[in-house]
Amino acid sequence: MKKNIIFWKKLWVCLYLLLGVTPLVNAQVAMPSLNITSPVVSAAAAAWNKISYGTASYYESSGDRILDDKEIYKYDSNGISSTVLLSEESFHIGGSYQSRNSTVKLDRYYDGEIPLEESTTKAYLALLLDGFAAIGVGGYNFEEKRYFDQTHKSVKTKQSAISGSTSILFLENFYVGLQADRVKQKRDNVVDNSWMDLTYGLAALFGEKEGTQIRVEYSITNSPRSEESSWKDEESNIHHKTTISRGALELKFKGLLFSGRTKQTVVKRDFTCSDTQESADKLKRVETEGSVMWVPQKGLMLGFSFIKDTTDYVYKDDHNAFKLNVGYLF
Amino acid sequence: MKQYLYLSIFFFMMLLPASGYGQIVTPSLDPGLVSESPSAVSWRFGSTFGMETAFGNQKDEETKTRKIGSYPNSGYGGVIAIQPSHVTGELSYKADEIRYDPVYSIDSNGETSFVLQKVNASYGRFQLAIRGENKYSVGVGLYRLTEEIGDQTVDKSSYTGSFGFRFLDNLFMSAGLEQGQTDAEGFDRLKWQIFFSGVAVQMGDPTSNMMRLEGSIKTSPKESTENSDKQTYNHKRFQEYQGSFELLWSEFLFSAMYKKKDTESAQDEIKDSSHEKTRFGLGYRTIGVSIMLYGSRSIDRCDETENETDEIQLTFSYSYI
Repeated sequence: MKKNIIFWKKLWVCLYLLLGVTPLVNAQVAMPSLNITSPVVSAAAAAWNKISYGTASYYESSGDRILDDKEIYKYDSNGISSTVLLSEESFHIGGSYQSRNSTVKLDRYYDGEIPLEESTTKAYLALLLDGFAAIGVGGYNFEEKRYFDQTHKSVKTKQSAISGSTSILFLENFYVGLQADRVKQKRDNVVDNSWMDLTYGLAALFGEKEGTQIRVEYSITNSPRSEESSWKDEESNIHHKTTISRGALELKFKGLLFSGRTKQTVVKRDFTCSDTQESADKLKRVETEGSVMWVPQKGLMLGFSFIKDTTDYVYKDDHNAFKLNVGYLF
Repeated sequence: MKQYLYLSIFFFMMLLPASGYGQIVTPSLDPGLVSESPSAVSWRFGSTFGMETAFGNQKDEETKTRKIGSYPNSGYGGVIAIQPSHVTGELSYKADEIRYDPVYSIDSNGETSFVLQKVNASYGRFQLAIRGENKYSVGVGLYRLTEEIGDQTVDKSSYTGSFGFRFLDNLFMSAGLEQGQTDAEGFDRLKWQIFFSGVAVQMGDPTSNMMRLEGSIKTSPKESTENSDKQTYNHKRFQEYQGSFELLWSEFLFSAMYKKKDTESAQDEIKDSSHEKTRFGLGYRTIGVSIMLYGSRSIDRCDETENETDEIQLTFSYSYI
């Protein structure tokens, strides 16, 4: 009885702390998601897994851009993603791949960037130390094509990073994680740039794997402003100060998983649209995902996700996506 | 037992803002009919190859005059459902569904009147579901529809995700979301959502005697878009309630279904409309060959106007476990 009271007290304290800070959030910095189709953010988080799996997802989305109350673009996007993890006792090796291609219908271009293609490949190694701490190393490679302006209609960006991370278990149910990423960026026509991202996360997991489980997590990534001056015929390159906050609330009843996640990205960047003369000093993007899936202890999994992705700047982008998730747990 | 309690609470929380319809929770005992929600597909009894055709006529209550030719073809289609294990896939297609939708307006005397607008529709649906521990079901669906309305072509597509669970052996619950878009020529893209949920009771043995009772509700908020001439194209707000009862007695299946859909008018001067459908069916149903004959009557109402549609539907299917 006393144990039960302590359990519920811990749960409410955790919910209060995590959900009180922001709305819903998502992350996999301190521990892995119960939704295995979602790639981990930090390598160390993956070390808390006790299973091996492979998953694949396909998604389609449609959306539009509104500028000055008028629909100026229509988007159609599709993409695939995949996650894989091999666990051998305390040693874990994993990776993920995500890609998205967009087609844009328009009468003419307006001021403002348009994402056209993007892909991210990630690989990592993680080690669990005596069941109370984990360390991980990894890296990612991100490539994208983006419309910038009339003279830069398809600009390629390559961004790669190497990462070190750690995660610690305390008070039986709580996890804290930390990750540092050294990021390098190459972009057409501008000088190379580099910077250091720092990510912190706090998570809690309650319940038994064979019964009911609840998991909450919140994490934040701070990416500082970094500017490299122009050199010879290459223009300067500015990485704007970016803050990413993620959160997740997941409920699993035996194998039936309900997962809600939110990721909010805020970029401090001044922009004035020459078409409307409106200006803004920051871009805010919010991605919200709700998923339902069947995730057994072993065997075939299947599920779906609805995703809403909005960007508020001088313009407003609004995407609705549906994702089909399949996978196998060994 | 605790997880059932949590699931029930979660389910009812979803039910409050949402609603649903039809064969949302469990599939019809007639294997030739297509499930209306992907998670319901999990509760099929084996694999099925089926086909259907339907004929109908329409008349308005005031004149009793048939507005269209007698018994026009109102579509033919097929369904293939494969259930090798705890995974079930269902592919269905319906072509040349000809129907006449009432379009309401206000005449010079200020009274509501309508014209019947011919719609030629073809659609396909794919649904995939997984069943866990014979208690839980999660499913996904893809739906594509093309409608020819006069000289205009309208394309609709949607994705559906739903989940369901069974407890106390015979009670089933389900909820889900359909998210879609409509592309009509000349108009901005129209995005819409439909929420649905339902409860069903199913008792007996599908190889001998069985009873199925289901109630469901479905709701969708209003969305609209416009073209360059400021004309609007609407996805009207609606609520749909449906109840069905089926009884399998030895090898004979009796089916009854009632559906009511209330649609909010897109224009202030026109009143809201409703569509009511009652359907009865009787046929031969085995794990093997099934043949069902359905007769239905639909009534569309708006203000004082009434438009009546009668339809006969025939399904034939072959199933195996």
